[in-house]
Amino acid sequence: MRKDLEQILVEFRQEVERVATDEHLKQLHGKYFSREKGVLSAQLRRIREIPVAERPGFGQDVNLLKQEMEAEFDRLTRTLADEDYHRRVEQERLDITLPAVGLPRGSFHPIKMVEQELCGIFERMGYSIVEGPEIETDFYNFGALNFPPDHPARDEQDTFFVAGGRYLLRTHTSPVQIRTMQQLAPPLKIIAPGKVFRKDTPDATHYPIFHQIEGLVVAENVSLADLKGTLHDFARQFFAPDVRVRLRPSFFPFVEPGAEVDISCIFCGGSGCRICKQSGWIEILGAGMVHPNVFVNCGLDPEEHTGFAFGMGVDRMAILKYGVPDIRMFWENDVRFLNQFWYVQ
Amino acid sequence: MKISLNWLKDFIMLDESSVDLAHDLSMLGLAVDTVATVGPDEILELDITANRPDCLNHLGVARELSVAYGVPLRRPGVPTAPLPEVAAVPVEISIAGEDLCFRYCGLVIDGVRLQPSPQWLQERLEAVGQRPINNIVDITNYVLQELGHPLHAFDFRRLKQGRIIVRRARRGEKIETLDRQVRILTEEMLVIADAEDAVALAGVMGGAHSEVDEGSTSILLESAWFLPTSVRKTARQLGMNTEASYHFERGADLEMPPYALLRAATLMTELAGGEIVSPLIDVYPRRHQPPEITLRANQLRRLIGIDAIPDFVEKTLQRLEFQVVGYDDGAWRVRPPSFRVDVSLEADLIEEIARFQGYDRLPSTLPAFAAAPVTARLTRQRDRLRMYMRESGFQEILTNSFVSTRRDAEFSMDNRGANIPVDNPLAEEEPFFRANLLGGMVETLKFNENNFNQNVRLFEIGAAYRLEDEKINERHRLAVGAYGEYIVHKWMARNQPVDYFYLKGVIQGLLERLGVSGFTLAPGDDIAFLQPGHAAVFSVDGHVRGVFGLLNQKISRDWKFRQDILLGEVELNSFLSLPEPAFAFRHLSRFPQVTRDLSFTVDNKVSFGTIKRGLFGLKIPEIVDVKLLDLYKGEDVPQGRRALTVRLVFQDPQRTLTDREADTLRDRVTGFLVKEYEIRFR
Ligand SMILES: [Zn+2]
Repeated sequence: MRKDLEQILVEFRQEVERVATDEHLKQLHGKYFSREKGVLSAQLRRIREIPVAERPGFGQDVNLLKQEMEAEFDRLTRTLADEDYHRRVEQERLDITLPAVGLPRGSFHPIKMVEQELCGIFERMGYSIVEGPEIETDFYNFGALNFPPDHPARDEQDTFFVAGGRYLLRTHTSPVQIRTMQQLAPPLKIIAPGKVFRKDTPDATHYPIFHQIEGLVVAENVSLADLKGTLHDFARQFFAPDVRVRLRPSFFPFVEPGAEVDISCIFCGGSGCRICKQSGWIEILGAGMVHPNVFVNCGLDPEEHTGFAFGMGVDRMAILKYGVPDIRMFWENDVRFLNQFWYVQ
Repeated sequence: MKISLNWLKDFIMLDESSVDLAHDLSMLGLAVDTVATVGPDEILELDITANRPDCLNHLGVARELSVAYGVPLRRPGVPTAPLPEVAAVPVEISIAGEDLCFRYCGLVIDGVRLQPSPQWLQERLEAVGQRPINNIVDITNYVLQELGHPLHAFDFRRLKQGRIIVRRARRGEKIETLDRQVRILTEEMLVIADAEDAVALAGVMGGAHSEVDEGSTSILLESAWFLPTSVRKTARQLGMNTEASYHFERGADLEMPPYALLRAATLMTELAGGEIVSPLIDVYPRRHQPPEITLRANQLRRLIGIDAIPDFVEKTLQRLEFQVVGYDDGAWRVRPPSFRVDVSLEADLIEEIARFQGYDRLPSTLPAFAAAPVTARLTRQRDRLRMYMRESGFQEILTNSFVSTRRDAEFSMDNRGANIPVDNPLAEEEPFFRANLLGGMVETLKFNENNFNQNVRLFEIGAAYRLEDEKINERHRLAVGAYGEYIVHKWMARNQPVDYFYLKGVIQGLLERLGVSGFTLAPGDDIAFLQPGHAAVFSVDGHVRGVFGLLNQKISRDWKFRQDILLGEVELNSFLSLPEPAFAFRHLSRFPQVTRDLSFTVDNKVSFGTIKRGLFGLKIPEIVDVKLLDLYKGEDVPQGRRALTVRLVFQDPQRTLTDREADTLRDRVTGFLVKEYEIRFR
């Protein structure tokens, strides 16, 4: 490059070094790159003063100069932009630990969650969900379920009577068995969740309202062995894969044979603890084969049909599952309590 | 019921530990709750189900064990010496109500001396939780614990003419019972009477007048059988629940009275020094008729899933003292013993076989069939609603179904029908079943506010009941309640409080979720619990389906709420039974929307809803939306009017609208608005 052009480049570079602001940058751009008054334009205009033989060389050198300067200027622009960017980042930096926007968070009631989970297990086993009214007649709650009038078996279900004794609050979900068998023809595989009512004074383990899930299976040949297998499958899904299930003979007027069903204690694994009263077993539900009288009361021939039924307390399952110490908390609906179940939904 | 291990060993050889016994009994259906060591004895607390009165005593429990363990049962001995053939005293027993008393046995013991029982007898009674009284009463209690049959001892001298008549009470007849209460009887109640008066309530309690006391030397011992329902009704009507009634109402053994009587009489002659001076008088008008039940081997298989070994079936039944009358063609004919009042059907026999086979040894299978799905739409829809409410940021609650009628009615959206009264409420102040859900909702909101919980949004879905035209009317309802902010961002001043329009959005979304596209709103000024001007009643197809709005400020003050409370209730039944809305895909328009904004003032009485309905009523297909951009009431707006800025959104599905076309549409709209609603442009 010609000496004079090289000198321009040196000066340009010195000026570039001194540029600190966008304003300087603009001035620099005007001084060197402006079409009318820029240093580069002036050099280009000089070509006419250059002898013809030197013109190609001069032209090449001016171009070289232009390229060098433009590259230099680009670098400078980028550097300045970078500096500006970093400055801005620092200025606009958030305190990322400031509180988040509190978004609305909904939840299901823990008892309804357990109810849904229980129903889901049986639905996957091919059961349908049916429901019945909370206010029932003596016929559906007792009579059709083979509770003879004036029988002590009725005492175990301390009953609320309503509307001057014409109706009662169902003491169990079993009336849905009757309603289902009256309305639908076997084969049947149903579960019936719902509220039930018993005259229990509220304390840590009692509340006059609680939830049950009734199960009913009716077909030509269903056996106690099928009931056993079904409850086994259910308990393994709901409690733990290694849970053991035990059936003991028991009595409910609407089943025969009848059974009380225990699972191996999920807290101690069966070795005995406070919750299972050292027995290693926890009672979870009542079950049995549909009593022939119940079939007759529903207009079904007990010779043609067999069936099994079971009933479990949802609130009790929720207590077992979540370790809630006082059943009344489910009915207080303190949102601090409800919030605790959010993550299990 | 308490069972003494030592006492059991009177009747059966037992090597098993009490823990093993407890397990084995539980697996036979006699659930053992606890095992306790009491001195040299161990006491099992048994929970005997209502169908097994035969196990409410030591012999009965021993019988079950003897069958399970295959060891013999030894019964307590009764005298072999002959009783007097003729009574030494005049005594006569008759039954006038043989439909309620199938059997009455009695005998007279003379020369007894009332005194404390010997130590061993007292200890036995105490071990099973009975308080020793005197030798005569203790012996009747002892026999009850041993054989399960309630006995009663009368002071024989107090029985006029030495007569026992089992009869119905006369209307208004009185008796003072042993607990010193005077009872007024009805004609349905069975009594034991002497020649003149009632001396005992049959199967429930003896009378005070004929009570055995220090002066008694001669007693008449009663061992009878009373109809369970009769005993139960009498006891219930008189509010009594005695050891005797507990046994009789579950069903006593009709063949037991003579045996229990002799057992007690023997003990009395041994321990109270008496002498039996009468024959055993046994009035037995209705003999025990055991049913003959057929037990089919294939039904056994069908019901419990096993092929039972015939020998096992027969032996088990016989050991349980059933009579196997015959066997042919794969079926047994069986007669249950008199003490097994629970056995009358084949299924009952099958349970006996299953019990002794062991439920834990039965196979475990799964039903090998599928049933048609019948899940109700109501169930599915309700779950979708619950899901919607949760997604909308509401928390599900469960509230009490028992309410005070004042509270319940206060938050009723329509006041149709009447609250259903609970005849025997648990709490006197809550004697009704709920007809509405909002009472419980308001209580829950208040409970949470009192607990300093901020920003609360709750919902409940449940059934509520009313008495309408003497019929029970069930309605599924959804209640919502909220206070505070639904978006909390205080330090950036971006809080979003819940208010009328927030709740409106929730309700609107809910209806859309149910497939309801249109609803109409009317002012909710008539809803007493909501604030006039801040409440709405909404209807679908002309039927009122719900209300929502701000809790009335006066009520809010009474409740001492510290902030605005938003409430809503939706009646769900009509929605839940709607057919599933048919889904049809619609093509998305490729052509842009064109908007035109209008700013105008309009009379306050013309609602935005009216304007919007009016515009859509023009049936201009290009109008796809009418949005409210701004609402303003200020000094520069004339009195009685408000300023609106409305955005008209036009779109043609087939092509792009030109500006000119959009202007023409706008002009049509403004012309309509000026003419119809007297709007004035700003
Ligand atoms: Zn345990």
